[in-house]
Amino acid sequence: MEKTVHISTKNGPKVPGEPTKTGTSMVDTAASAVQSFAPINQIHQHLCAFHFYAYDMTRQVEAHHFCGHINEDMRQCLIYDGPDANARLIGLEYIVTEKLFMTLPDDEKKLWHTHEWEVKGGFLFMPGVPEAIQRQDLEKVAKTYGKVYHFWQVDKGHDLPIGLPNIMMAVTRDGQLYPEMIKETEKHFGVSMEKERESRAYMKGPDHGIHPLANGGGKGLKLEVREVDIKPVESVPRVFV
Amino acid sequence: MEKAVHSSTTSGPAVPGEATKTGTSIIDTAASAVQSFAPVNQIHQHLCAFHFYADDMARQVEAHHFCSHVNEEMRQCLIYDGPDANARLIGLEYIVSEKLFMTLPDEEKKLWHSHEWEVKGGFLFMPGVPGAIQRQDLDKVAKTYGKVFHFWQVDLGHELPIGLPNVMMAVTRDGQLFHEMIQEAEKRFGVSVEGERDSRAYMTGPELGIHPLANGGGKGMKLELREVDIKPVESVGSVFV
Repeated sequence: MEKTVHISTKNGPKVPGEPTKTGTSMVDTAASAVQSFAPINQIHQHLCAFHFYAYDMTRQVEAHHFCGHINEDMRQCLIYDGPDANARLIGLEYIVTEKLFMTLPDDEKKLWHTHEWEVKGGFLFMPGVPEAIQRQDLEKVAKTYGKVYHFWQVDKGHDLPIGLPNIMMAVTRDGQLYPEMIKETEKHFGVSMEKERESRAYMKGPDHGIHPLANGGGKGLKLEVREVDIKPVESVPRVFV
Repeated sequence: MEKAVHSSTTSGPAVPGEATKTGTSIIDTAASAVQSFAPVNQIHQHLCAFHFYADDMARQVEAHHFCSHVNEEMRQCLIYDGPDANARLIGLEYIVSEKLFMTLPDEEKKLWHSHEWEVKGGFLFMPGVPGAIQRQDLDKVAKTYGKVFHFWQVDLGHELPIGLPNVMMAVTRDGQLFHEMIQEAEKRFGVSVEGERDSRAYMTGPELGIHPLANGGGKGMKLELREVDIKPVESVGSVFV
């Protein structure tokens, strides 16, 4: 099977359909002037990292995370395939501290991946932010676990989000990410991952070490869909609980 | 199985963890001042609607969509469980015109649901926006199809996003949504679903009628996880494509 890499919105196929009409934009602007976007306004951090498919490490995608803190122990991130206005929403990620991760059922832990190597390796960075400031937060991220799904297989050139969600994983050691993909990103964002790696050598991963059940527990993971009988709404007595 | 309803963030369990520290907020603010949030800045529409699980109509969730136009025919929406700053990111939805929907493979169509009844029934609305302005956009939405996944089973009281993604569906006829849940939302947002229904009677759904394969093709759907061998990265020749 061919190697597939998706670096940023520019490399992908165009989404079919007419460009947004002026009339549409005007209605949206008028309406948005009176609406509240409080949940979105919590998003205050842009992180760039790389994910691969949990069943296929040869498929690698540059993932732009836009994150907000729910609280000190948890973040929720939207994932786009690029940093620009025309970027496609391709996935999302939840990030939790080791403390919260340890409360997850064992069956659940395998859906989560560690961030230690991504951060210490220099592969995860905050575009535009001076390294010294980035590190103040990234040293926390190095100890966390993340759960990522992608819904749009941009690396296959899909022009619409077709198929089931894909569980994604992140690097756990050197040599997993394609050097050419890394170099392109470094050039694009003016960063040097090797330099960052040196600066981040002091950072530590989870206090208890990387949990053996995380990162798929070493196995590949794939979602499938099963048709079942729908439990109908009439089956429930109408009492307000 | 019990009926499960989730009306909004205020009624859900608190996410475990410490409240966000001031230090964290300061770093985030400093960093965000220099970063670009272009993809997120495209979000300009807040829609409130109700989803039920594709395998269980007795589980219903109030879903706050924050949407942007990718182009005239496609929108991408983040779904939160409430309209406030502390809302949880629980899912996402892609919305396409009938034209784009018809280009999807048949197997794919069943994962999508129609919006005609949600809109015409008055169950889908834009909080804060006058009816006449909403309708300028909603009469387009009535003709579209959507694909929704949820990742956080807030209606079961889960404190963290545990489990596999859930395919979600939307109403296709009257009598499917729980009255009390609707009444609560009407009160909170100062809207009248029935009043809107009268005003929207003129709207029409997809030109070709609701596709028989949409809305699960009438069946329930559930995602399952399969463990497989991971295709390793060493299996690919290192040629930049």
